[in-house]
Amino acid sequence: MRPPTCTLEASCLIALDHLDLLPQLSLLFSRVLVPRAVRVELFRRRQTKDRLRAVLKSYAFVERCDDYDKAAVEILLIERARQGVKDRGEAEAVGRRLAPWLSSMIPGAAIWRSALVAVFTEPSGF
Amino acid sequence: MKVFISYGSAADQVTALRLQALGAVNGLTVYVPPAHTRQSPAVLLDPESGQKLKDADVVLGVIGAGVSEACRQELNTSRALPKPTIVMSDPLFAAQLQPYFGPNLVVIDPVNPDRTELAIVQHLKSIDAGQKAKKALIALGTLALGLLILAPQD
Repeated sequence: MRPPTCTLEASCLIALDHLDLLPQLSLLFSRVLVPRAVRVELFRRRQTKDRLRAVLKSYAFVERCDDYDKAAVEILLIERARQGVKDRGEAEAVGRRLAPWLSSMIPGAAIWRSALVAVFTEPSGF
Repeated sequence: MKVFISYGSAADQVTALRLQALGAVNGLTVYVPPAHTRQSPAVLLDPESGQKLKDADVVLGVIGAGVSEACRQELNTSRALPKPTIVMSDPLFAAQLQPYFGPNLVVIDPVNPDRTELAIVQHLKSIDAGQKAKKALIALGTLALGLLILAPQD
């Protein structure tokens, strides 16, 4: 059995950290991945940059992730651009979700969840 | 009741954090050292960990994937203080740890977990600790046993 893994996008990471609930994610997941674009987004502001660094230093199960389906991310971004929204962080979180072994993701926007459920339905689901 | 969990390597931190969450809902204050203490080959004990270790009523060692220098130091300090301690270890590291932790070491037997449980109970009978401390150690030791046996592996 593969260890349960999830991908976090920026708003979720900020919210969970603010509520001091990141360590509790360990009850659900053995690995929590933070895609590159999410890190770039959080590194834009000093406060979130410092927090992300502290989180990555403190919790071994929260990991940097640069391995995702780049083509899928570009397609998702084109779709989002048509709606006038660009969010590479969420797109990379979703792109990471496409890896077959990844069991779950925690996206911020409900629209992404519903779109993914419709397109990439899997037995593990959300 | 304050509990200090000393985990072997960074990979074992997830087990320690799960124990922390499960302990917290049962009224225990559980401290888990940050992961960076396991990633650097530090010679000295992290000052915050040292303080938390002094404040702790009981110490639980969780060694499933490796033994770091920081973990060794924490468990040695706990022995020196001394604090009621149990070190739960994967059979792979038993021979390496036995000379250091002797009777404090409980080796996990995934095939016969009841033997491990018996070893925990026997160890608790032999140590001088309050009823509350023994209760906390048996509860956390049993949870650690379950988590180490049942956690999905890569």
